[in-house]
Amino acid sequence: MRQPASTRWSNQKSIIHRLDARTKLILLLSFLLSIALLRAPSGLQLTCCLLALIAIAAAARLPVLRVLRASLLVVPFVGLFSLLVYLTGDALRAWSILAKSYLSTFSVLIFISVTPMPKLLAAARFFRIPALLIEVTQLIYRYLFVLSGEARIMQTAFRARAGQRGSRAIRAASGMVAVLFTRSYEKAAMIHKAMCSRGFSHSFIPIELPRFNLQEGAIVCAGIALLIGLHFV
Amino acid sequence: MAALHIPILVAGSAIAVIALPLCKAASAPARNERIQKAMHIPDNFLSPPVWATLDGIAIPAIAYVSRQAQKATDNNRLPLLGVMGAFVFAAQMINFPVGLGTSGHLVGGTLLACLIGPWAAALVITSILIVQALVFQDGGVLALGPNVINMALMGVLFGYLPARALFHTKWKSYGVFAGGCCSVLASGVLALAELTVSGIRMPATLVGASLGFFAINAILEGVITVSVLGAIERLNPGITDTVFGNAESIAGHPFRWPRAVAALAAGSLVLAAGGMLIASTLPDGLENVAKALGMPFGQPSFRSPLGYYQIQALGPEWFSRAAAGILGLVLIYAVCALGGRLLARARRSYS
Repeated sequence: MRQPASTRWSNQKSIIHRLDARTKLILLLSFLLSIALLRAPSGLQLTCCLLALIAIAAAARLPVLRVLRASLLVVPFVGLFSLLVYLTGDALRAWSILAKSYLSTFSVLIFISVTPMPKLLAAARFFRIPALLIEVTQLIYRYLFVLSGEARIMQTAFRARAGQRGSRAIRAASGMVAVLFTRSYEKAAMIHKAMCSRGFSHSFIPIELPRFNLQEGAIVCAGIALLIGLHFV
Repeated sequence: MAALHIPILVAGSAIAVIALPLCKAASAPARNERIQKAMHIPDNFLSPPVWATLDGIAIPAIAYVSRQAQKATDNNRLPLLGVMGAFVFAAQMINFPVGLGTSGHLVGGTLLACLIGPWAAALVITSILIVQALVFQDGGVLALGPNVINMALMGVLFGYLPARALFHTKWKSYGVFAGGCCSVLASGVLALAELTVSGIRMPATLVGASLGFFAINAILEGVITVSVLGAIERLNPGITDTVFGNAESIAGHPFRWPRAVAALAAGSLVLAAGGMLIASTLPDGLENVAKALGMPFGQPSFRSPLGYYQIQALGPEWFSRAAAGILGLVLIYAVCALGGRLLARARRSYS
């Protein structure tokens, strides 16, 4: 698994990247909520949302077309589902599910592309998400690509030796998972030692977020006002 | 019903044909890798009252789980939890060929519960769902609550209980197998039930087909979990002792089911499944039942004010809409503030 491009984009610099992670998190959640509460979205409302998101992506200097295309990843699954709804005779609901899901995915993708993970987790800590959950998420995110790289190498090695067929293949694959587990387990012990040697006592020291200033507050209020306004368009 | 079924199949295959190239286009940079699109509920599938309720249940539940996990694990196991989460991610990439040219992969809830204990496993799966929703856009952000309940809480509970009950008997692998099966079945049935409650009317054939699909997946997960756990135990003898105790220490203390938990869980699952089948075979069944009982089903008072986004009898339409919007925001703020207060107290008590 390669790192998604969003992790690379999140380290760029732009006016949107500079915003406080808390502001962006609140605005993302309000956007998702506002989209979800649109019962029968009109084309105008959806277009407004799409244009606003495109404008934000452009202001963040993200490759807009690529982000738009990457959000298509939800379409197959959601499409199948909304087709089902369509066939049961609820055409409006089918279209609105498809369009709203696409917009939601697009907004989440933009959000993760403008917010580096450590800042996002610091914001989550500010909102009183349990510390253990945040620490585990942080560690998963950090070692995810390491271990999936290892899994890929093991699978390539397996294929290079022509693999096995039939019922023995499951046994071989289980063996692979077991080796992967053992390596992860050892890695965890080494990581713990390394962390201790760097002064880790019992929890991570969160990065300090700057004070939530008036400007950020104004941006949040303006964003929420716009989102409420969306319901009256 | 059959008349409806055929267009669904035809259109389904058509959309698959259309969607595959799209999918490939979207994942062009990572061409050689299988796209890990699990079936997490995206945003906007469930109706607002349903996801809001489930989010409301999931948030305190996760706070509780994280406190229990903190108690159950000592501090030097913190890196272990994170690395185990990454391990499950990576293990999901390994293909298990199951014949007929198809392959399955591990889901991992039961395996994790056997290796690091149920509380820690639920916490780790929650973290995985968060990473999947945010970084990989797999599953919705507002739908995190339903997904957490289906997979992290119920999935792990239903995977752990059978494995725990039979672990030190000679039927150990059957217990693990049953755990794998139950965990996937529980997640699937719960997801279907949530969709049905959201007012998606699924024809009975489709519900049957999805249940069959879940059953096949469940058996696969059972087989894979047994096989992987066996292999892990061969490589690391005694790895499950921290969770289940070793054979000597529990001699004479056979495991007793936490009966209330098991009964509650099984009952809720049966109710969900039964209710869903009834609701799908008799689309108006629920309303008839409600009418028979004299409940005002379908009246505005029964519907959520946020779902319809309008408070009637408040005068002109724009005013009632605005009032509903502001009321909704106030409600959400109140819930958040209360939840934050509770969470803050919970955190203080263990840190």
